[in-house]
Amino acid sequence: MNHPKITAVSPLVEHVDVSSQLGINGWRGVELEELAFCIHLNLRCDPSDSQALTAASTALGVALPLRPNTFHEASDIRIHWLGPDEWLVVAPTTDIHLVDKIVSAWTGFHHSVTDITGGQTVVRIQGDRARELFNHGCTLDLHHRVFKVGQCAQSLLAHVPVLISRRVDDANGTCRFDIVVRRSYADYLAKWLADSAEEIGFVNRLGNSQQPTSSNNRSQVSSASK
Amino acid sequence: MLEINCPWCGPRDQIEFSCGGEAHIVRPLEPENLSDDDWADYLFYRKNPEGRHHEQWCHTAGCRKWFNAIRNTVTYQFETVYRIGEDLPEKTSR
Repeated sequence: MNHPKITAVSPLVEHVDVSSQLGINGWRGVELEELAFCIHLNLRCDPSDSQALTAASTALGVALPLRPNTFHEASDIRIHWLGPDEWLVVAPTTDIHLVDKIVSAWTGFHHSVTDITGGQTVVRIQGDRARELFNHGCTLDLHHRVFKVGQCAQSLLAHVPVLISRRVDDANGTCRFDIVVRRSYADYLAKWLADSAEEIGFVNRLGNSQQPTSSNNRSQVSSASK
Repeated sequence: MLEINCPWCGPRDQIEFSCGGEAHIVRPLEPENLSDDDWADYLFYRKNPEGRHHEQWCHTAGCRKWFNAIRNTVTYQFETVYRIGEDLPEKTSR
């Protein structure tokens, strides 16, 4: 059933103005960007049930990470370890049928699949001085030798519960962090990020992410509901 | 500020955790047969030792898993942490 009048709105839609500011010494510290409208799924199953794990990796195309605080990634689908029996899947909007795939793959297994797509968003922080920005409000040790590519961690950033993951560095060797944040905290966090990044300089592209269906972060929902 | 060792996530800052009080309290199997005193003892009365204390902790802002810890109430030092369901570890020599 189509709901032509329902539009998906990014929680950072208020931040559509692209702003940038040079930091002290002319630093261009970080770029802030939103990966809006991703599919978010919360998965739970018994990690000792190898058949369920196999069924999940076949359905999703990515194996569920069993090592604490790591994520697996393949063809734009990322699965983050949230707990010994809990994972978060983040996938592009085009993977709308992912939830059906995993539900049917896990039929008969003891499991839980929750679609939390509208409830949270992803903020990408990219830049050489990204760690200095985190140091303003996060107690995690994000040094590149400690927090390596492929690791993720749930913690508090400026008192906000977040999931921080370190993605593969870009072609220039610049580090990239993705933050999964709840929708209701996103606006506060975006303001905090811009405020804290003032001294290191930033380019703020939050709320201006490129979407195939939209240019201003209001996306028409097409046949998303069953 | 304390650094607490989560059995799943490793060392994390104290602000990510919440304390759940005394550990290893077993619910009586037949509460209806208990005296009021015994029931009150189960519900309300807790140890308050000076020194080693068995406690439950939850990694609230992290993996959200409960675990047990032995903490010294005088020095605040965590002697050891162990997962729910694991046997009580032998006293470490620290």
